Amino acid sequence: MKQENMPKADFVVSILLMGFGVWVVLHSFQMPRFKELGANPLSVPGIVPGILGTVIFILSLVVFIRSLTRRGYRLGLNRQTLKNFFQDISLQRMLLTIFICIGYGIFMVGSMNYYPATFIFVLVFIILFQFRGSEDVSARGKMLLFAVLQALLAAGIVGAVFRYLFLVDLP
Amino acid sequence: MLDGFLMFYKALWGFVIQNPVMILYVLGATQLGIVVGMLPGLTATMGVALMTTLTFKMEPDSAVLILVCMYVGAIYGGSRSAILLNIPGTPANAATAVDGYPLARQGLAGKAIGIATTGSFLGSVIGLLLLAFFTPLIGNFALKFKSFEFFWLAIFGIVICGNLTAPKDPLKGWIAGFLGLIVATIGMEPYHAYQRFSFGYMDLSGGIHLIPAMVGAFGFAEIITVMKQPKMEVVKGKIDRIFPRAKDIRKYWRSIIRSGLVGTFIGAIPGVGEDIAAWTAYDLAKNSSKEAEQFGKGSIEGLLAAETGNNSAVAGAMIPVLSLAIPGSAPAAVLLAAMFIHGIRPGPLIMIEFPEFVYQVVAMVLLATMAMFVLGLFMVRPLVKVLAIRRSRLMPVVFVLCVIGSYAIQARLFDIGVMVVFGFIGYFMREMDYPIAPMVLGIILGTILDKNLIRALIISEGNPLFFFQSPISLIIAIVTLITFFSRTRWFQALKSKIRDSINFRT
Repeated sequence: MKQENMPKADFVVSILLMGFGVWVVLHSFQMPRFKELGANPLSVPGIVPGILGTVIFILSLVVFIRSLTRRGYRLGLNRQTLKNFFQDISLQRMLLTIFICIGYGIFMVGSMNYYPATFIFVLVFIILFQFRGSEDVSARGKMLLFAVLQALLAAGIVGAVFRYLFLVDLP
Repeated sequence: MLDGFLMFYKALWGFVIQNPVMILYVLGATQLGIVVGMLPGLTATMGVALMTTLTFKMEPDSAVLILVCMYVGAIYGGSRSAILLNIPGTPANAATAVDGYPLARQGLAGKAIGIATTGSFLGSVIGLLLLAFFTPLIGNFALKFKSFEFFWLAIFGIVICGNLTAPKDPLKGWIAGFLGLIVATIGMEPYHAYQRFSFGYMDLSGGIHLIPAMVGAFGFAEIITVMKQPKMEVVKGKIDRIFPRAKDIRKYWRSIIRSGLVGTFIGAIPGVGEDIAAWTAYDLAKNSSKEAEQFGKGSIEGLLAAETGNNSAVAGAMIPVLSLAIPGSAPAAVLLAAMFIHGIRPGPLIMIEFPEFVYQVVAMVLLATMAMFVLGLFMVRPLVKVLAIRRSRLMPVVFVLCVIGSYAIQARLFDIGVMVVFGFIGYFMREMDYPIAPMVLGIILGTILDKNLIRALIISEGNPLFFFQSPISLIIAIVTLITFFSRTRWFQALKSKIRDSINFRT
């Protein structure tokens, strides 16, 4: 992130962190005190998270005040900045990476066999990031062939090592 | 002392002569560590974390040996891409790039690699000597620690780690540390077995496991960061003479020893790590050099200082791991977790329960250092080809390892989710300039803080004065408070006022 945008980021993040600190403290208060068991009031489950939540709130408050003095509240959100933001190639690459990785890690692993899931993930990842429509047919064919080969090897070798060498029951 | 030497000799004999397979482990793991370190996007922490999952069914000494070799190799390996691409393979090699890359651009890439290898070797040797000397001393001293001292130690770890990993804005480092401490409170608490922040989910009742959290925060976050960049540089140019000249090393012996000592000391500070060690060593070398103007333009001394500093910090980071069960760096945190997985209990009792293990670790560092030196000098040209691998081909395989690595330890799909969530957290923390290392340290220190704070509160009946009663806790508390307030404006103003008044009187 550019340093000139940091006060804006600090402004937003500090509000979230203050909210988190307050939530932790409130949740800590709701934890049982075990009075009926004669527990020492200083040993109750909520005491440590309560203290930590308070510290997070205080430190975030300092960041918040500092961001106010640096005019971080001027977020400057308008249609043009949002358009520029979403047209940024880095953002598109980042979202694509997150999308494929979550698709594999959260949805595919566990719901289908490990080997085909891994094969599909590696293949799709390589194709999405390496495919160039401008390249000639033979270059694209070569790329695809290598992608299939790598996906097969990655799924097979990683799976086999964990399954047969380290005796892990693959998902 | 003699007992220590005998235990070290016995450990070395056991590794080299009695079990020659260990030599293969050393060479293989160090080589793999060098490859992991040199590839931008794969850090030492990630390498050690993934290797933990690969070794958790092995014998404890073999597993820890492999992890130590991976750690030493990866911290050294990062110098390759720093020199050849101006991209540090690991954060620990950022200072290496400052003088390494200009040397490569002058057609002296081979010389720079040779100097970096020698510096790493010498740094590691200095570090392991200090590791052998100080671990038993600190371990014996830490036997005097009670709840108050452990509480202050945990707070000190977070404060100093936050201070040093976020030098521009320590506030963010402290927030990251305290967030880590809160993460550690998830799950069953130690006194009443109450499940905190689990919301009825069985998986959360056991807490957040360190390895998936670290693999996510360092590994998945790194994958997102690397894939986000539209272009990456590729290696160009030939490699010249690699073996360093003795006169280059002799000329800078003072800088080497100073960097080794400073690197080990910084490495031993909880959670701070090799990157800060390298920068501090580099900075000190620059300030005391007769050739200060050469720094940043291809200075041999600068390169030596940076590499000596970061590799000596590896051994330094193991001093608190073994003596206090508190990691000196992020990869050392994984190493600590791996030791617990294998039934080894580092901490103040180690010199009573497993004194030989301390010297086994020293022997492991020595073997890894020797392997790194040999492989570093002889495997330069074939390894440079690894840097030409496209990241779109490398990163999916890395993510596959992140997924299976997170899953393998407890065979729970939940841990893959933890890895992904911490990947997001780690990525956004980086973007917002919040360092990840204090958060990881917080997750580790959370248990220590939780148990000892409650115990201390019960003993003191809530009287805060008890927290400053013993001399050790008073010293740690004062150092913590000074570290905390040293970054405030009024403290800086007070310091300059005192300095001015001293100057005025003299």
